[in-house]
Amino acid sequence: MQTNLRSKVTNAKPSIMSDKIDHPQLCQWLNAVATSRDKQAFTHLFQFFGPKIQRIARNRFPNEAQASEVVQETMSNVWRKAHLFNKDKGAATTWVYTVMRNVTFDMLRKIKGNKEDNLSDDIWPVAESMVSENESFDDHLESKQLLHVIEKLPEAQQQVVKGFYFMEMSQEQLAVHLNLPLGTIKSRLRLALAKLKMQLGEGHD
Amino acid sequence: MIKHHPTFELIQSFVNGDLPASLSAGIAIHADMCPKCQKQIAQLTDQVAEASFEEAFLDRFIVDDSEDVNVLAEFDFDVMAEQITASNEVFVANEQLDKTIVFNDKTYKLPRALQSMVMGKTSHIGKLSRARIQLDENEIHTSLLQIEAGGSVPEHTHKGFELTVLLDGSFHDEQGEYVKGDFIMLDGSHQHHPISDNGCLCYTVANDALHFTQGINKLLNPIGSFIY
Amino acid sequence: MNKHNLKLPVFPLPVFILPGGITRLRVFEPRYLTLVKVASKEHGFLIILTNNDAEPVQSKWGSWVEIINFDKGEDGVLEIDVKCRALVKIKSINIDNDKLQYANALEIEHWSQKPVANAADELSESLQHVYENNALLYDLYTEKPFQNTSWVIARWIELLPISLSDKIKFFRQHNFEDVKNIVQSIITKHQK
Repeated sequence: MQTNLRSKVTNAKPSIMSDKIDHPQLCQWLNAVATSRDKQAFTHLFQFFGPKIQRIARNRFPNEAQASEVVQETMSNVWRKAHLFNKDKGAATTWVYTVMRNVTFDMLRKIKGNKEDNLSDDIWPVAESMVSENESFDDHLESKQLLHVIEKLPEAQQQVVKGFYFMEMSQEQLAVHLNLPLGTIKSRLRLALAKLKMQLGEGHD
Repeated sequence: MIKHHPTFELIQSFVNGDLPASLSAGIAIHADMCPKCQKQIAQLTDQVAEASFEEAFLDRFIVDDSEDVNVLAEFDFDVMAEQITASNEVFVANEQLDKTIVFNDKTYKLPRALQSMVMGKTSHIGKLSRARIQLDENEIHTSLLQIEAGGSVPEHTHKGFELTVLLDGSFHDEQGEYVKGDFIMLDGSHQHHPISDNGCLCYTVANDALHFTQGINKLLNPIGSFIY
Repeated sequence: MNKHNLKLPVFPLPVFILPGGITRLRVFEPRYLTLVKVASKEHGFLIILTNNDAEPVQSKWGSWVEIINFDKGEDGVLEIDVKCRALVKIKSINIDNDKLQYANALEIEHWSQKPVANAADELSESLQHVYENNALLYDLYTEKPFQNTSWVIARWIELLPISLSDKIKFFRQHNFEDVKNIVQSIITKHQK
């Protein structure tokens, strides 16, 4: 990507796994509901999403009863529409979020404008991902290969790969850029820093 | 090629479900024709969904409200779960009939986002035909507007905003040429005079009557309330 | 000038950025994905400078940035482009129960925010050359005001190969002429 500057990347902080959502598990429960109307799996989904939806909805609706209605509506849509979830096209959290956002949108429209037209599923379809099929397929392949390569690297290097783009130049690059000897760059930088320190009143070290 | 896209802020509000139905539908229509925005929306939805259901994020909501914690504790999710699973009803998607709309004998396929919306009667002035969409969003007016070949909208500005999504055909104004799929959001500081050489169909959303800026057109001000 | 108290989530990073500066970050840790979510709903976040081992270099100053774009990188990692809005002085830092640090901070004024018009000089020409040879930089900045000397100087300081603990001194140096002279003494080819 870069021609002139190095793309040095480092990791900011080690990753904390305990925060992570167990996506494969959620996905499995949702599929069990879709394929075998598995009540146990649904109860698990309810335990995970129910209280969270309640809290999110509580933020948008004036009272607890309406927030509960969002939970009721969202979760019953999850039960009734689980077969529309396609795990190849996105995470379970994304699908449930879409269902919840749509329920919320229609309910707010009903409360504010007394309209019961349920437009949300036309605007944000729950049956398909927004990403077109070809594209998600490409992305999938690409990222899989890349991750595969990354996983082979030693831990320290993996972290380097997953950091940020660092755009600072190296002394060598600056020397090439200005067409000056490296030694000149080094001494100029030393002088400049000494001057800066003096200006800031810390020239005594 | 589509050149005009919704801003990042608009896409963000769209994903959050914060926009009115009129603007949400406008973005959905654009995204259906624009792979770039489609991808951005899908990625942002993933991110927002992931963050929304992360325990840590949710804890933020109840920081200083101990009452909520109690209410949540008493709330019986198990009963609700049982009620829901007692029903064996499965959602069956309606056969999406591809709805169409006809302007001056020309039939257009209605975008998916508009399928359930109620269309008003079509009215005509010169080469312009308009059908209001009944969304009841107070000062926000949403319409389908057809400009027949050679037709134009008189030069105007807006006090509020004016969104145009081109559903079919093309038009041009002082800024350039617009094509099918373009998402054109203008505010009060813009002035324009769209002309369609070969005819077009637009989805328009405006939150204020437009204001004509050129001599004789000022007399035609009723056209303002006609179009938007 | 009356400045408001800010409460901003903190992202400790070895990234030195001045007002007007733009950089791309790759975010993969759940905690910082949460930060992105919070920041995009509210008013951005604060970058506090760390060294390359993620230890804070200092905790008095920070760069207040806003998210201006995002994308998923080729490997599926979220990439966000952030633009520095202002520098802030940090009054205190608390850890919230979402494990994120939040800083109470006060916006400060900095020379890099005041445009200084100038005909093209060696500093801007040289910077322009860097941008033209670096696709990422070129793409990140949709606007490249090479005719604004304070902008040019700020971008040069971000690029200079000096240690982060030295760079931080440029937060404290408020005299634009002094800063300009220093950068000129490094970049100008033929010194007077």
